[in-house]
Amino acid sequence: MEREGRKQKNKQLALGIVIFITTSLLLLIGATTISQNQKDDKVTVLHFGMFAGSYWDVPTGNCYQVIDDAIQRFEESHSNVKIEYVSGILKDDYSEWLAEQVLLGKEPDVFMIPAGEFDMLASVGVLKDLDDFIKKDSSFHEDAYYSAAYNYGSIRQRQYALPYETVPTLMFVNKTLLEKEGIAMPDTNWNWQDFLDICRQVTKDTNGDGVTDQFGYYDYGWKNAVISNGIRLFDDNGENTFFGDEKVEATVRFVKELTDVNQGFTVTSKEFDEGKVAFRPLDFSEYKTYKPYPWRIKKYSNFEWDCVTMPAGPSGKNQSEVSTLLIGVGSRTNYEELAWEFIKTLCYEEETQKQILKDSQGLPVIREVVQSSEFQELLQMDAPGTSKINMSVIDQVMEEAVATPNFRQYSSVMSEADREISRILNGEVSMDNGLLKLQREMNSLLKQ
Amino acid sequence: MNKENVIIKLQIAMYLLNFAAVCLVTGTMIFSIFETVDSMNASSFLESVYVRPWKPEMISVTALACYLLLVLCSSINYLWKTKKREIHFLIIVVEIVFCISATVAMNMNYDGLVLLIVADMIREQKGNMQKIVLGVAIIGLYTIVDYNLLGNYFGMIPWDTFLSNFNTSFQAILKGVKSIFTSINLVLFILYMAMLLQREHNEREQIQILNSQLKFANLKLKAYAIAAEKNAETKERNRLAREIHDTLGHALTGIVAGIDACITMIDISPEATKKQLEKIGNVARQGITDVRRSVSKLRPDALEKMDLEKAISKMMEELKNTANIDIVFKNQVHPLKFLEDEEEVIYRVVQEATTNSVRHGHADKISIEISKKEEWLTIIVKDNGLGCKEVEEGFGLKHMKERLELLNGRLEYDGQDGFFIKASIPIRWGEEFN
Repeated sequence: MEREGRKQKNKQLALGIVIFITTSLLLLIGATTISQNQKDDKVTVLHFGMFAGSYWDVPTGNCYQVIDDAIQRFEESHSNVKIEYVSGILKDDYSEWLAEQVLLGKEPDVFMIPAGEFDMLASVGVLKDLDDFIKKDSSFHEDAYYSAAYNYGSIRQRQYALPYETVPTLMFVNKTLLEKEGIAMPDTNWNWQDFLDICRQVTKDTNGDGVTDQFGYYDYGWKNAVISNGIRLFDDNGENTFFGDEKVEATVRFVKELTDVNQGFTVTSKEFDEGKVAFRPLDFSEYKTYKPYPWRIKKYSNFEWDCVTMPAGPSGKNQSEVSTLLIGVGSRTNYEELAWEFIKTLCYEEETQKQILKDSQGLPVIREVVQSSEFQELLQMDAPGTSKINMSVIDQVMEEAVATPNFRQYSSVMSEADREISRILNGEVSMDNGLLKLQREMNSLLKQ
Repeated sequence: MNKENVIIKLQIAMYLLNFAAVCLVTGTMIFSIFETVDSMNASSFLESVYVRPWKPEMISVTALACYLLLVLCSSINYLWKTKKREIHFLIIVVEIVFCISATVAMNMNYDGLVLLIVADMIREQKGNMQKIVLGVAIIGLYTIVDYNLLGNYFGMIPWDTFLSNFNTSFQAILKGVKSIFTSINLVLFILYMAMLLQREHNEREQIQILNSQLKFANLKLKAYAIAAEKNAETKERNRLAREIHDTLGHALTGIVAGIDACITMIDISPEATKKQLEKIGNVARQGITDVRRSVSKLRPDALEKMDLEKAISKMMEELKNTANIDIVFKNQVHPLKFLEDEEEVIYRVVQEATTNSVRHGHADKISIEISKKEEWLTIIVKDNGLGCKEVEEGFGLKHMKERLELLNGRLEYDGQDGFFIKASIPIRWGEEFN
């Protein structure tokens, strides 16, 4: 009996030791976690993630100016809040940097979203759903934004980011070339037929060596044409494509006609830079960069140039795509209210948006700022001489602009489609068959 | 006792092994995340898993804390020898919560913790119903914590993805160590189960032995009870014999002797004979008194102290309390007062009938009714018990009949629907006294 009692005691002792060790380990873990989380509570530090340089790969002056000024205004109105950002991250490294911070659990509270990663960041749960803030905040009106820019920040009917600045696509026109050919500058309501006519007119051999050396357009493709013909290629959730639509067929026919004008020559940027091409789609950021001094002598210096809207298709308008830089709030932020205030300072406050006009290459996303007289003056200052571009044109382009779809497979689907359509354009595949097949293939690709 | 020792050692070994496994898995995950960042693969890692992993410190803290809490609960469950099943059940539920949390923190890349819970559940379970619950719980738990089944839907990152950040030889080592841990864990679990089963088997054997001993003791007790009853009967018979011998025998002897004397005396002296006869009469009267006294000793105690109605009520009250049954006693005869022998028969009939209802019929409702019609007094006892299709007249019924017949009464009974007894007694109302 005594032995059994002793064994019983030994057993209890052993388990007692287990309990003691586990409890002390638990306490240790708790203590270290608490000590790690203890921070200096006097000043709240909000982290901001941004990259250096332009989102649209054009040269910039001080890329931090707009942000720094916005931070200063924010810090003045919010005492005890400090905003910190890591400077010097290049745009190409930014995506990797952000992913690293996410893996380490240290992503900034507010950050710029790298191109093409919006859907991934939102789906993975890195981005905070902003709908609650938008509903609660009575001073925030989504109508203030151009819808193309604003909607780019939403996925599956939820707003995960706000637009900071945007860039529409315009049509670059070589004025010198048109003048030489006696062709008037197209107006902002021109259409495909006008475009095609001018291209046919200017495509010729100027020096008589038997080789065509002057061309109508460069870099205008079916993607530009699809948008200006009022076609939606994908539904809202990126689950279905509409390549089989007859409007797409009409578009591809037009592009084929346009391609045939070049008589088999492949126009390159070299010809364009030499002033031998009349039209080329151009981002507004390039316009803003190369139009004013000093950059204007750096590029396209041997001819006069200007921009107009894109030519409209038979069933569309003078529409073009916009590319938008988004800013989002990290879902793990500890200061969501402050983060919301700060993202509003950047993306909604007129002060910041006006400064984008002056110091950045993009276009503000707030309607009122673009429509203001200051903006018009600024454009005039940038472009001495007669310019077809005025406030109402930019406003019109922005109002009618189409947001680039932002679902995950967009870029891969589009490059696949590009391949197929060039086969159609080359005559390898018949038009209607090819497009229907493309629609089927794209749909199955999207369902993966 | 030795087995108990082995079981506890196995349990502790399982705790330690799983601790090592948890450390290995979380360590690999965290190390892999840092490796990804160092090798500038963060962006492609996120692209490929399409899931945001937890913060590295969050993974380790949650997994380890939840695991340690699980061990804590498990040891408390082992040590706490409470009879309350709810407490063990509650602790197991808490264990399951910690197990799931730790497993989720490890991105479902280690499912061995379930074995700890299963071991605890099996140790605590008893009864068939619980075996079903246990089975369902085990299947459910495995479903929850197995990556291949549900991990994909919960946005968990598979183990292989974490491993892919290391070079092949290191990957092989990690894989090997993890599978060794898993196997040893399984082996320990199986041993543990075997030990538990053996212990349970031994316990059952012990119980069987005890059971047979108890049965034997019971038999002995029954035999003893029968012997004791017989003994009491003999004693009672002896007492009766003595009583008859002492009283009636004495009186009768005296009477016989007296009468013999009278026979010889009657012709010589009728006067003396008369006197003698008077004496004999006195002796006979004395005898009657003695007999009455003897018989009164056999009367139920209750009747001695109170009247019949109260005595019956008291008896019923006692039966109600002891057997926990519902008894309705309806008496339509007031006052319920008769000659002693009649009262005794009525009392005995009620007593015997209710006793039968409880003993043989297992009734829980009995109604007793006493009524009179002309000179007949009727006692009806009815119950809702088993009854019996063909009534076999046992000792009780026979006895009742005999008692009733002494008073020229009748007994009727029926066992079709519950049990029904009707006893009728012709009462000598004329001799009723006030």
